[in-house]
Amino acid sequence: MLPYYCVLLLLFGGGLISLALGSRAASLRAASFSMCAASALGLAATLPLLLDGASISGALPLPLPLGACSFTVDPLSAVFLLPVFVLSGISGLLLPSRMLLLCQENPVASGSAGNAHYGKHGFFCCVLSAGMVLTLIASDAVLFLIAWEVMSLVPFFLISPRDKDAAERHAAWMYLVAAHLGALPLLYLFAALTTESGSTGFFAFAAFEGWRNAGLLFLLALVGFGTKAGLVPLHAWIPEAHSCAPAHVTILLSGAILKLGLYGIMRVLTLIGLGDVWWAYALMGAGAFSGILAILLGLVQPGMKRTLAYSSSENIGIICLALGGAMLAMHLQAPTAAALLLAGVFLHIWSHAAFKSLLFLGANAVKDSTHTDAFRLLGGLQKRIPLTGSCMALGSAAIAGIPPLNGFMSELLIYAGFAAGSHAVHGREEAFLFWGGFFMLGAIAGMALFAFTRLFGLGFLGAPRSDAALEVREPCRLMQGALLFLAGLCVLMSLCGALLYTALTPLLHSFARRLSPAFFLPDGALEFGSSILLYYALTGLAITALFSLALLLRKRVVAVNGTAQSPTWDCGYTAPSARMQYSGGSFSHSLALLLRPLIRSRITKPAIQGLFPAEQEARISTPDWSALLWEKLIFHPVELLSDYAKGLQAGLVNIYILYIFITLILALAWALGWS
Amino acid sequence: MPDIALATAALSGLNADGLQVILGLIVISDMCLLAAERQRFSIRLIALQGAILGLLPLLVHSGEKDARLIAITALFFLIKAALLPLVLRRTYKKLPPQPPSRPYLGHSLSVLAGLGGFVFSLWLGSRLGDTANPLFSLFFAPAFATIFAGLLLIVARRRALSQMFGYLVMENGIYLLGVPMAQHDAIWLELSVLLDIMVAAFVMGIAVRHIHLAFHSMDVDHFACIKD
Amino acid sequence: MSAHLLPSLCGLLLSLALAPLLPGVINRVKAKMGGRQGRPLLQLYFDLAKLMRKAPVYPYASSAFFRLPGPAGVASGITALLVLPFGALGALVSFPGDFLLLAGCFALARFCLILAALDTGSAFEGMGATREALFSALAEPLFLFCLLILSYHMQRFTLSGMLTGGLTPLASHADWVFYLMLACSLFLLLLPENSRIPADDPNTHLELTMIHEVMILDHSGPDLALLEYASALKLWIFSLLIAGILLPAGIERLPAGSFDAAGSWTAQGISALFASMGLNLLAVLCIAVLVGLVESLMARFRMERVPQIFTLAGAIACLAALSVWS
Repeated sequence: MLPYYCVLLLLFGGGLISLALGSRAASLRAASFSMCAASALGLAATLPLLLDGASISGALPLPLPLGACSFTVDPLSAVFLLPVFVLSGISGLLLPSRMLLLCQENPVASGSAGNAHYGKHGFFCCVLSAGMVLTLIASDAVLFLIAWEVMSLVPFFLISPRDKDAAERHAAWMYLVAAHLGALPLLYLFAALTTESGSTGFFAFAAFEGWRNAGLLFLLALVGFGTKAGLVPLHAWIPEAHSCAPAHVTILLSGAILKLGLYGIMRVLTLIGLGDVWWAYALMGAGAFSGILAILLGLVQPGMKRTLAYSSSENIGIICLALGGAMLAMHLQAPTAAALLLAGVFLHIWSHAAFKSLLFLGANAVKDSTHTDAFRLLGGLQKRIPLTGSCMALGSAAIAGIPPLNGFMSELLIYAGFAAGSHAVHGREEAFLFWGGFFMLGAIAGMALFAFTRLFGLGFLGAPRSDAALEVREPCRLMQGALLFLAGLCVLMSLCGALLYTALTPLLHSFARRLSPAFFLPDGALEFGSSILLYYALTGLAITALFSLALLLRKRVVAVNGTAQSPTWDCGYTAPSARMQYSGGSFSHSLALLLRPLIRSRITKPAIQGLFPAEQEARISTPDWSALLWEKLIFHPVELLSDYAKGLQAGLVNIYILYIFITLILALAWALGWS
Repeated sequence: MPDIALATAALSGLNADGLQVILGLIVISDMCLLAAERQRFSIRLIALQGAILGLLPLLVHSGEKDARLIAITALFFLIKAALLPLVLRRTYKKLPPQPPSRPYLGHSLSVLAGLGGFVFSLWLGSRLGDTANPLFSLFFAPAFATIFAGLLLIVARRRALSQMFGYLVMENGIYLLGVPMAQHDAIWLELSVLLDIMVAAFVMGIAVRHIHLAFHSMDVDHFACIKD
Repeated sequence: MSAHLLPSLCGLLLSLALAPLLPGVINRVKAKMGGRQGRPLLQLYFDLAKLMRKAPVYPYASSAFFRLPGPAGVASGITALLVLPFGALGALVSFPGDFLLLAGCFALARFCLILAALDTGSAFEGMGATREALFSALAEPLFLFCLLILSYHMQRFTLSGMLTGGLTPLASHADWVFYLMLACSLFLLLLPENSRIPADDPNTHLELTMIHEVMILDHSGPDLALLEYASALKLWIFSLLIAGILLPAGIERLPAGSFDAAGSWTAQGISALFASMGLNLLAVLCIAVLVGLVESLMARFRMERVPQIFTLAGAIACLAALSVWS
């Protein structure tokens, strides 16, 4: 466990040094260094663990009020630790330059007070990383909850580092509320686990059998961790927080923190077991609903970062769908399907961390120089920033599930898993569930293609729609490096699918065994997935080779024939302008009309009357109805109640004495009368 | 379902697979009816369905094919495949051409609802358990789905003529439910229902024309104004 | 294995060579139905040869993405043909889950095509792009679902196994209905996916009503040639798939004496192989004729009605699934 203690020490120490250095730029460098060093160390410690499938434990003699300070790193933690370390390393690397850039942009903040943010920001970045690592290695309920709270609360201070923008502040508050509400079910969950098993250690939970209200525990975990993971309709904080946070924070939010929600669900499942079959149905349903609704809401968003944020919810939905499918397959004793689906779950977690971070970094790079990410103002960026553009194109292709890349790779396993599941239960009603999961995944993937051709096509291709788009510049070297690194990671993952699968094999065994001791994954079931991935890499190479050949052929022919340039044809119209291009709203208009009951766009059409109509305005907006539902159901009634309760506080001492008097009388009456 | 298949083969002249093909065709024609936008196409589909259904008693009947059965089958075939479609076609021709109207429930949604009805009736059929007549469990789901499709057509369509299609399809479903029982006397009951519907179709055919003269439209929305 | 390799390779090459014939057949059928003589059957070959000799013209707004869809379409088409069997023998490559790759290949081609359309900065091409994106988003899950139920029924995970699995269509009437319904559903998907009437009109001259053609308005020369070839390949792939479903004549159906003791072909086997390939070829041409008939007899749907095609295809696929579920 020593390396992990060192990681935590490095992160906390670096954070404190950063805080102590305060307003100096060195504070950022200190935080950056500690994050990078901790990441390198953590990766070096985690990789061998994952490959061996071993788990290590340790305890520190620290006095906690309850529970013990015990840690365990098992393969499940290791799977989640990898993206946390990689992304916090990248985040740390980018931290100084991003923060300097942010404060230069805002002259008010860059005065005497502005730099004071440096130390605090560095501190919180380090603490966030430390909190995530701690959450993943804690093996005690109390320690886990403390780590979870630290990890949940810190982003509140990071989302709006300059604290100047009203929208950013709103996002930060929304995050805080969601984090608090989400933590509430978890408190109940772990309290219940502790009282029933009589201990706070995870090992004791895992050894305990015969939970009384296991279904309730599962639901609490699903809601509590689902809020962090961003399952629709618990996702309200995601679009706000992800679209406002600075680049180095967003990649941690979307790539790592959301995954911790999934980790929580999986960890609780390993503790309380596979449970009833309706748990699998619930997970599949929640995943399918979340995936479909999130991608539909995502593809009508007006800006890049919000689209990306919704797509995070969608990917979490895919993962939950597959996890539910795997649980169902385990219930039905279909080992091949279970192995494929579980492998798909873990591979998709990794893939998503890679391409979503890539896309968020690219979108932030665009926003840095153009100060907008709205589709109606962008366009034509590819010619001006080819490197960022190409990386974004690769990321979009990966997330949209385009063959040679890693997004389709993990989806391929999930598809194959659902197909294998339906084969295994041939002729039974459960086959419909596997078909349903398969179909839903297909629908989500189809919509994702729509959403990401829209994102890249409208943002980066065509003609610039405004002057803001002309302002665009390539980001700094470091950022370019990060983009290239993540893009390379995506390509590498798609080529090494079979290797990754091999690395995951011990985890698959141990996870399946922990969920249900009776279930065993035979080697034949596992070979299926590895052969799929091997052939996938080979066909990927074939596609790439054929593609290059065709490009080469085209180039040779064009070199002989020569080329010419001309204005776009546009059907003979003589005065085309860039504003005539399709923009975000019009691109998704037909889909929004077709799926009106799910998307609920509000479209105001101008009423054109007379021969010379006056200037009119048409508007398409899509408020997130699933998130607004909470406002209507909970926040408004609570607000009303609180307003009403304000009347109790009259400000007069004699009234307060009266309250105390009434309370005393009631307490006496209750104590003597009813007991 | 092998036991059912064996029993069916013993009971009817046709083997179970052949019957399944025919029943599958009926369900497909239900779906096509729900999807159809043009009334002329709907009429053709109803004629097709009628032709299949009209021949069904002969196909299902086991043993000796006596003259009475052939006569009854011929009667059914004549009414279902020829007479009713002709009445519909006559009514359709009499009305002035109109653009397709937007139904209460979209075509896509009604197809999906029809599919849902089929799945539901399959489920119902599986809960039914063994019936005395093994043919009945084979016929139940398609018949019920056809009734459901007819109801959907009545509920979802705006034009009076399209609603009439709905009644006919529903009757087809009821008929289909009766076919397995139609060995001896039950067929007369069936015939009486059919005659009722035929009279209704004639009356509607005349009424539709008059409705059009009165309202200058075939939209059933307009009927709401005569509710008092 | 090597005895199987050569015929599979021949099938692939045959597909690549004959794909541009299908649009010619469709056009010829349409012309005959309209009482005209029609263009030569080999017109697309002439067009391709001519286009390859022309100099392309690029719009000012376009970037490198404008040049990608042709090569991407051809590459993905060839990859799809690698896993799709032709005739009695399996495909050149076959691995578990390869039927999913088929949909992935289409997604790759479509992704590049939509981006290229948006790259021109033209309002009309943006319109085509959004329609293509919408309709393909609806078609993709249905296409995958059709393949899933085929794989479910055959209990195989590879396309070669599914299409040449050795089950004969006439073995049982219920199966026969299943194959027919599945083929019908895929045919309904073929029409919009290959921009055919009633979803899209390949011959229209009004940009407002086009989907595929409007997206490639600005492409010219070799780029256009590659795109045309890629769309012909896609049509071929769909037709071959449907033909394979209707004629699941597997290697088990080759007569017993097809191979000698050393595992190489005998004369009898070769003739049986040729017969099976010829049958498949004939079926593909029949499907093209059918497409031509549909195009001659139907009008193009209003855009808002196009999703109904998918609903119907989905409903038929569901019925097919229910017919083989138990």
